[in-house]
Amino acid sequence: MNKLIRVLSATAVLPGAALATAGVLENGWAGRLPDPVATHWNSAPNGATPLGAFTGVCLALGAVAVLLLATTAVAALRRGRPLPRLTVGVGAGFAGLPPAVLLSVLVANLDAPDWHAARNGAVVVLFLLGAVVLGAVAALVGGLPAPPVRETPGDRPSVGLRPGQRAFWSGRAANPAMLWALALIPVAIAFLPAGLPWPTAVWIALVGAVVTALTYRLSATVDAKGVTIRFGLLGVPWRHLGLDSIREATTRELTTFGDGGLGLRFNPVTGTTAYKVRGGPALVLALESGRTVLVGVDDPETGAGLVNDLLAQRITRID
Amino acid sequence: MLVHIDPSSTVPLFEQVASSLRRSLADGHPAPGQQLPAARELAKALEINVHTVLRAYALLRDEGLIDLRRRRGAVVIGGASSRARLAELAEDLVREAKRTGVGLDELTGVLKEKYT
Repeated sequence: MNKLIRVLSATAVLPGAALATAGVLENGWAGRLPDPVATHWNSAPNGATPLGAFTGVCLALGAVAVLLLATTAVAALRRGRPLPRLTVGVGAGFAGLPPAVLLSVLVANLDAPDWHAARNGAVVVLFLLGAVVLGAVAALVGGLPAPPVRETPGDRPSVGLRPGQRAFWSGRAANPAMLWALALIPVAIAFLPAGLPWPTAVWIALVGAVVTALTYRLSATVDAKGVTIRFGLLGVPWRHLGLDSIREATTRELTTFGDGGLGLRFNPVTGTTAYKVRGGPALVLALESGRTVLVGVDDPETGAGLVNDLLAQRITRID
Repeated sequence: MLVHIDPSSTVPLFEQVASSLRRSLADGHPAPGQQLPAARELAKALEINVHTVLRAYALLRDEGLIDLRRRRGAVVIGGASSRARLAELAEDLVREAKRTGVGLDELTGVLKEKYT
């Protein structure tokens, strides 16, 4: 099936059909529904909204979600970006939420003389499960890996590793400003005019310490097995990318707040995961899956060169 | 920081490791105050004995490039970059002198003459 048809089926047709079904049913059941309809429950119905307003809001939200999802997915497809199944599935599931909520409210209110007599709202669980199923189907239909791009080896960095040689590369980066920020948290709390209850202050300091521990330092190592990325003072979280999952390595200059900002960032549209504690040079790993991993560490040219040389040796050995 | 070795070379492995590290230190990676990789990690990655790495680290310590601390491991000393660069140049000079048959006394004489 054509890729565009698959993507549009998953991101526009499926959630759009759910939205249209909800709209048609509301129209067909208009004579059997009270107005206003019960829209909030607390064991029994305890809140109502005019039928037209509730239906309009749900349909409008659903339409906006479908439009956003479909245009984003088609734009990603046109740019040759990957469309991971998880991303398509979660997106379609979210776009299916407004019709699911509308249908559950309509079913609960169907044939009730007024909103106080509406049935139990637990039926919403059933329709939410329906949205999950819709997301799963969309993921199966519309998830696409990026087209493999084979570039000329001449463009790639290299460290000139010869056959039989073994090598290890290590690069790191730190953000001392994070430590200063941690030191400033108690000072800032102390200077708050109204003061803070001590449990709140302790929680803020604790969260600050954890965030600092996770994002203060970053390191990457390359050896014959692949690339290992370690975050934070304790080296956790960490990630290992086997050589067989990497297509090539290059370098890039990152801005401090680009690619989602500092920390561990994932962009589901571009399929890019960024590990950053500062702006500046970064190792760029293009994966076989079509995704990209950015690691902001010092001397990334050497790391990228070693990855490419190890990949070239691996291909030579297999051939 | 790149460390590479050639197991088929006649140069002892610890000297190859030390030479690679010296070159990286001369380039400023890692910077003073930063640690070299743990000897066990480096040995595992290069598939060599941990004592070979420790011997290379000891050599760099004797050259005044790193400090070996019980808890912090191998830490780069301030000024290591310029000292490592000097050591590299001296190594090249000695190699060239040996290749052209210049003895130690003659080489020392050349150095003294140039230094003054």
